[in-house]
Amino acid sequence: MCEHCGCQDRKKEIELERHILSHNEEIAARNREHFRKKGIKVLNLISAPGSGKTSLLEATIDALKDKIPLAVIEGDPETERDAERIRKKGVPVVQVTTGGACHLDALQVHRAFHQLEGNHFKLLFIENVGNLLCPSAFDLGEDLRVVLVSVPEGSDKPAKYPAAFFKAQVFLITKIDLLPYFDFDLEETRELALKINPQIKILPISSKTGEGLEEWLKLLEGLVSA
Amino acid sequence: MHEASLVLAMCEEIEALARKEGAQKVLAIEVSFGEYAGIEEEAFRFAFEALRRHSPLFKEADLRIEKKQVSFRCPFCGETFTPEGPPLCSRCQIPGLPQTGTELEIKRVELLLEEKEDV
Repeated sequence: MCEHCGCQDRKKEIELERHILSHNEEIAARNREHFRKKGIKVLNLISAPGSGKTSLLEATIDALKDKIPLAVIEGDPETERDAERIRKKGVPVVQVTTGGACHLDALQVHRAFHQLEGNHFKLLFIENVGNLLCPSAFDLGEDLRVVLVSVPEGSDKPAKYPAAFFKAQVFLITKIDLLPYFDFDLEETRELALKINPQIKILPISSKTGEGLEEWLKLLEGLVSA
Repeated sequence: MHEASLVLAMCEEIEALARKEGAQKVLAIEVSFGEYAGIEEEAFRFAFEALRRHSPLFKEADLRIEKKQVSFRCPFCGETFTPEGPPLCSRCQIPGLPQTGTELEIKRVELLLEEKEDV
């Protein structure tokens, strides 16, 4: 660059101030509006692999199926395994395989939602790809974002993955039936999570024994009737 | 590792802008990431380097990354604050609502426009 050839005049600075994922944000906003018009409440479940998202859904379906019509979108890098588990429960389900990608995006949810058309439901669960980091950057158009940490993972998870907790409304501590066998400090986890997001609602549960499940179900019923 | 998807999304945005403006090259990109945006700066730079190598438009672009602190707003008095300890409003002593901290923003772009033919 120099002052002679006029290249300085060809420089242009633009204040963009635009979200990097503005395309995803726009689709997410459209999803949200679409869900609202249809009167469907949507939850986005985020956790590391193996925290018990699918087991929680199975237990939730068993308890709520006769009261609230449900549907599920399953996100996984590969396979239809999780969708198969949900299908066995007699609930409409669409499997999204991301082909190795670490998160779901709003467009994938939009497409999956269209595949669910023709089914009647009031509550839609989106089980995100097992990953506690990447999915938190992608708004899907959900009403509630739920983050899960299971007892074997350790009580310091919120400190390690603050992004997931900062934007979530509900924090489920899962597999609490295993508390006697692990050094998991419930109080420590609560404190860490509240330090990141003081408004987050924390519920310890076990999909296996049913402990704490009632509060979770109450929360869902409240959401649907809101 | 979603940094690669983010770099792709960012470059798509800027490419569209460059086309609209009639730019030959992108000279600089300034982005702003919140402390809780879940971005690994190294990984983001690495992904950008990989993309830049094959792109005439971005080959010379300077990538500047700014970090934005987390802040909360007191639901009672409305004060915005950045806590060092627990996110409690210092006046009202009640928990704040998350405000900033998850930004993923393209702040500024510097372009080199195409040479205009002299008339």
